[in-house]
Amino acid sequence: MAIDDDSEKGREDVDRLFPGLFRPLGGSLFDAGPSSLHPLSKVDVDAEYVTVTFDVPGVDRDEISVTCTDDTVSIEAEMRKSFRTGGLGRSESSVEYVRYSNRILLPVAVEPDQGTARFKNGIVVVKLPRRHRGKPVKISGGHPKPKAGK
Amino acid sequence: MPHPLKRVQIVDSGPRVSRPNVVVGVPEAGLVGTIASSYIVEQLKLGERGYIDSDFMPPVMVVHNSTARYPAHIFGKDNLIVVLSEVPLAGRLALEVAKEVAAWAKSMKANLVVGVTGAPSRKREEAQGDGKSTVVGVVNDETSLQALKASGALPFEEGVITGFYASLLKYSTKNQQSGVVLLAESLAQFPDPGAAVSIIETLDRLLSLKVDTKPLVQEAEGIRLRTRELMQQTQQAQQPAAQTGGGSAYR
Repeated sequence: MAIDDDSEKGREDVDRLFPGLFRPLGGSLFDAGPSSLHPLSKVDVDAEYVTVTFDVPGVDRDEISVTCTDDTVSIEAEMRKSFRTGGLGRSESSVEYVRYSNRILLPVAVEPDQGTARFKNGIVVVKLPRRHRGKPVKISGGHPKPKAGK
Repeated sequence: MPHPLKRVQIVDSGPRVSRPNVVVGVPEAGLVGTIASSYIVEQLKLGERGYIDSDFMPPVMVVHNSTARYPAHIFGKDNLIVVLSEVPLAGRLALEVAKEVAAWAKSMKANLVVGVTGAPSRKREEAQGDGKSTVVGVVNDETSLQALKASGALPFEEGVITGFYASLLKYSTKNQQSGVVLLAESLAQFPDPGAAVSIIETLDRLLSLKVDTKPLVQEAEGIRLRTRELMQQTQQAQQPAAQTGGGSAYR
């Protein structure tokens, strides 16, 4: 899926800014696979569209790949600079992450061929029309509507 | 007899301060309050002077240089005190912490209690968190209204604020303590350092802090990466609020 790029920003190490705060220790966000992080994401559903938003700071548009099926949206994105978490003492070395990777299962079916994606400020917004294909179902029971004039 | 659960305890071992300004930042929308207050602590090199404890707090300690520290800390220098939580405070805990912080500020005869946070905004979502945010303020008396006007922040004229900051303002009012809550338009579910920059610029004018925000702007992407886990925990802690709009304020 082609992504529209609005911005490109450099990424610096924040250790100097927050030496004692926000030190990630690992956990569910860090188990996407070897060297991969799950990006923060959210899914919004309205009557017409499903919108999936991914937070992928530190990547360029050309390094992002988004793939959609009827009920999933997947993202792969290479970071410009690796992100390193601290290790837990001598028994565990720190872990270096170089990409984002995730697959989101959608709550409703979509038209994957009609999706669009927009990238700006390290955020990817994927918008997909909801699938509204259906066949009429005949309803039995009740009473038929009386004909006019009777 | 089992010990009764300890509600909330504020332990402040810092020096006595005359009429301090107390800035309070806890994780909510876009982690704006936590990012802004942490940045002020680091930039102004405020020393740690205390902590907040409660048996209702999540079982978390922050480790720095091999030393465990409480995740809700109090920092200060001169007449500036910053209360900063690195864990989400939800439900009853938010109310109890806000109540104790307001009482503690009153006991110090604080000049102004300033809550800083984000308010989820459609405009901010559409901008994908790019650029600056509009900051509005809610006050509780004439003193804080004049201070807000001087800071250039727009008054939040009509609406509702909920959660921790609503309680902070409520108990400040009850204690006849001047208070203001600054709300920056922010992303709801992703860390929003840009909104934190707007908050710091407003605080700068409100309290004459002289904080350089350029490094925060330059390193926003790295901060978003570092705070993603806390953002996820905050979302989970605020799940019931998220189902009703996810905001700490609405008009």
